[in-house]
Amino acid sequence: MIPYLIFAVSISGLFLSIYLTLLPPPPFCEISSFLSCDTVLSSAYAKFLGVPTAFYGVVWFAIAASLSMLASNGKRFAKLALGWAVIGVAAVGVLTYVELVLIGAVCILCTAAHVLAIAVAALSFYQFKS
Amino acid sequence: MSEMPSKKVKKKRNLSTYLAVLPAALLVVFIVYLVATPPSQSISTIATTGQTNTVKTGDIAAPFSLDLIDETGLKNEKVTFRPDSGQIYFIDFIHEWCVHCRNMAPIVERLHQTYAEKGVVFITVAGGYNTDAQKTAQFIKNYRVTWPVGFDPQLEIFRQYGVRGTPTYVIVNRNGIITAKLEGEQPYEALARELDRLLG
Repeated sequence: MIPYLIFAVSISGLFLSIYLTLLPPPPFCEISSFLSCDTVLSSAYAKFLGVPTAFYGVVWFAIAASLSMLASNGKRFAKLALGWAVIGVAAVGVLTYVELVLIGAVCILCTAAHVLAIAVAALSFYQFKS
Repeated sequence: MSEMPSKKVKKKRNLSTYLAVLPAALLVVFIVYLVATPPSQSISTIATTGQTNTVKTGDIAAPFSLDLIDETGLKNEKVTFRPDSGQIYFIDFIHEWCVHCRNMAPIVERLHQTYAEKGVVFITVAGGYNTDAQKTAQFIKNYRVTWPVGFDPQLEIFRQYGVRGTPTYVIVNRNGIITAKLEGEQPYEALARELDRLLG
């Protein structure tokens, strides 16, 4: 059951990241000057190495989804999934720092993707333990 | 009897393998799509305008009149756009909170410096979605907007021109016909090219 749950959460994160990569932020994202997707997604940090930051989310969630299924077949992949989850949580930490300290604004859709990444990490840890 | 559970495990493993391939395939498709059509995020969408591009190049521009706003706030005057006046118009639709509009402000200012003296009339239509006149006046002050700005609190002119997001640039020729409607951040050269074409 847990691998399918990780898979479902990862796929949700994958589609959210695709949306953030492709489309402009929706109006409900503009709540105030602090809660503004526009501010975050059009900042200098919206791209890393010339690639939209959200695209790294697409890659992370796609691999996390694949690993969740492979991990259900073997311990080796479960270890790999756990390692991947640690990378994801570290990235969420860095991105949250960038939003709060360097940009001074929070994108709620990006935060939703961060929550999904943390959920995937927590479930991967649980899967590895069990 | 012992074949049943092993068949079940095999079936489950097959399903897991298929599901493991699915996200990887999605990723490959997405990368191919991205390479074919790079994304453009340089526009801030506005839900209240209906999001339909009802006005396009070749259409006759509709006249409008809005309350004038400058760096001190709303004035007791009007900004009037008359497409039949025989002049070339550069109209930009903005919102003070729109980061892309802020990014574009120096480019529009540069355009104004070059083309106002050649007879192009610049008008900015500042929307009132999620903002007010005071904040808009602050934008005008911060970005040194020296040409007429009309405040459109209910986005009536935005709707009239089918503005789906900001910034949107509308260029009108001497016959009152829209010759260009560009959405999102634009390079200086793209906007200058459209104006040069009309100035001939």
